[in-house]
Amino acid sequence: MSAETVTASKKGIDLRVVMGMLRRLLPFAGLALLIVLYLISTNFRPTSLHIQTFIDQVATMAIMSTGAVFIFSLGSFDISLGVGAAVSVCLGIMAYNAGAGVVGMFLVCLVVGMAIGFVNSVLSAVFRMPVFVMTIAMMSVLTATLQILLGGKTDLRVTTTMVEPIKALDNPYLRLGFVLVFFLICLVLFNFTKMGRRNKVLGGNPKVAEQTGISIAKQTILTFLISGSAVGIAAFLLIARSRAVTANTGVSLGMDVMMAIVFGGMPLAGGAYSKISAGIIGSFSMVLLSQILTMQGITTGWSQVYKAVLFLAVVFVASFSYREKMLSRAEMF
Amino acid sequence: MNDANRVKRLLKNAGLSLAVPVATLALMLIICELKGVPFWAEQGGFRAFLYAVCMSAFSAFALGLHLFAGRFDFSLGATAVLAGIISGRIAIETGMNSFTMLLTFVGVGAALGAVSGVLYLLFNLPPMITSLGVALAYEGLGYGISSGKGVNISLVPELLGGTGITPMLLLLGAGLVIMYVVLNFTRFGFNYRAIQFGQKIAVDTGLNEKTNAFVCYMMCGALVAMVGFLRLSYNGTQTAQLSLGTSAAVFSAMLPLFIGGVVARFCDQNIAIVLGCITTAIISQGLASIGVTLQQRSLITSFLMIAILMYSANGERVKAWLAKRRLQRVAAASVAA
Repeated sequence: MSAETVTASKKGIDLRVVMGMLRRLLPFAGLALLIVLYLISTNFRPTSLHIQTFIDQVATMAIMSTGAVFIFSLGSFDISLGVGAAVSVCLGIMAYNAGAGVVGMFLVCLVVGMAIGFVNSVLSAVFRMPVFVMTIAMMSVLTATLQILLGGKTDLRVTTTMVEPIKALDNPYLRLGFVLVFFLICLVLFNFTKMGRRNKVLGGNPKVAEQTGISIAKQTILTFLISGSAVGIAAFLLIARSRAVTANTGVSLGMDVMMAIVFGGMPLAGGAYSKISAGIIGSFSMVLLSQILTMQGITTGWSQVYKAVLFLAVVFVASFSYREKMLSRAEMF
Repeated sequence: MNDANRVKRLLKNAGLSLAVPVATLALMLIICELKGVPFWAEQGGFRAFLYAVCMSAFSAFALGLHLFAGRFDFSLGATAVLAGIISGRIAIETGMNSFTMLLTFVGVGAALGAVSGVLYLLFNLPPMITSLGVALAYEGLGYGISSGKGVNISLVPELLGGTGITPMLLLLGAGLVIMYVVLNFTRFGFNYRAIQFGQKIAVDTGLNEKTNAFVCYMMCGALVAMVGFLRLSYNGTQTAQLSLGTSAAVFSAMLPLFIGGVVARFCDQNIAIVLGCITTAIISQGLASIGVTLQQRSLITSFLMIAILMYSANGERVKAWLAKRRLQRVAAASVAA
């Protein structure tokens, strides 16, 4: 860069830099605004029921979104997460009903979630299948598996006589504890370990990552295992909350996670600017928005339209620093 | 290449293209024979079969048009549903017949696709992200304007004529011919292929990528509106869905699209997609006839999808590995000799 150019850019205000700053601040500003609107909607006196409902709704999404940030940071999407959680819930309930106890149920959820992540990672890293298309195929496999596990019934419930220990887990503070602990672990992994740094490099430029000696296969497997563990923990929390699974459990969860991460300010292409906070900020924002719309008496359909418009507005502003000459597209095959 | 060679090559490619559905049909007929059940287990089975082929063909045309250009559109299912709700209501209120309702569907679908395309061009973000927002908005609109009831035309016989065997064959034929002509003999088609195989070069040589993408979105809107038309005409109702429940319909078109991708090595992409749809419908029909449940069928077709994806991603690697092994064997044999 010439001396004249440097001086000019120092004197003038670079719109791209300003928009970049705006993009980084937007998720936090959005969350702050939503908190204010939420408080106004509750007349500045949210009841314990309000708070409990909020925590109930946000916990699962926050954990799954935080885990999914690792996949997003590679510049990939996994839309099978929601159905993966539903399969984990189903097998967790089956294990519990078979007498595995609460700890056994937790372990089953965790192992199933991680096993699904492992299979996804092997298909992606070893068999070199494009991640997004592969997760669509896996979503079909998992949906069919869930329906077979349900055996033609509409739902599977925790046996009535064994429900008490699960009821004891239905505690918002326990959920919040899970969210905080999981977030802190991910924060350390993502920001202060080689694993997190490698993910960012790999997401930023896979060729550079490979040439600097990073094993793409190993990194992909680790990433999907972390995301899978989030799926397993979320499944455990889902059981604690609803004590049942239906064929529709998790249908929209995967998409919600994707939206939450984008809402939370995650760079759409992954890479160096990926933020672990995106999952949690986005989840809090989305649940707050849902609750505000419900409290304003907006019906389900129109509420979804408002959410969509806001989502598009957020990604529109967030996209300013990513504009390129050519239209955005990806290699699908 | 002389005429005789050209004819020979054409016949060979036609044979290889048809081999996939014909072999699948033969396999399914043998399985049905062994199980002692007829292939068409239900009355009206062929109409249902044709309906399944038409539904997946129009979905796969739309999905493929985006996928081969490097885009994935979550909003295709929501567009079909919203087009169904809007066009169905217009058709009932204005006393249309099946044909005019079909034209309304195409118009509404193209308009919805155009909105989606404008947003994609305006935002210039990964289309998956833009289409997520559009899908949510379209689902919400469909639910909102119909108060969650969707639309019901089952009591209007004039509107139910679109899914007889002849109309469906005509629709499928028309759809295939239009796609074939548009992608192979128009400026849009040439530009589409240029962008598909070299976006940067195409843009640098002055090709208007934005116009091409916009037309793609409009075409996809019209194509999935046909899915909405077929669904409404066949079932008499179109329910409103929320929470991205409409996206599942799009994913179901993936398998025929992938089979089409394999068959396309021997024939035109669009013909290959239709052959892929026929193959998928044969598999579903055959498995249903021998008593395989819907869930088990879904699992089998999903594994098939993974197998095809695996083959697409690793076919060349496997060939290279086999060639290397062959060379090693030859080398070992010559050393031993």
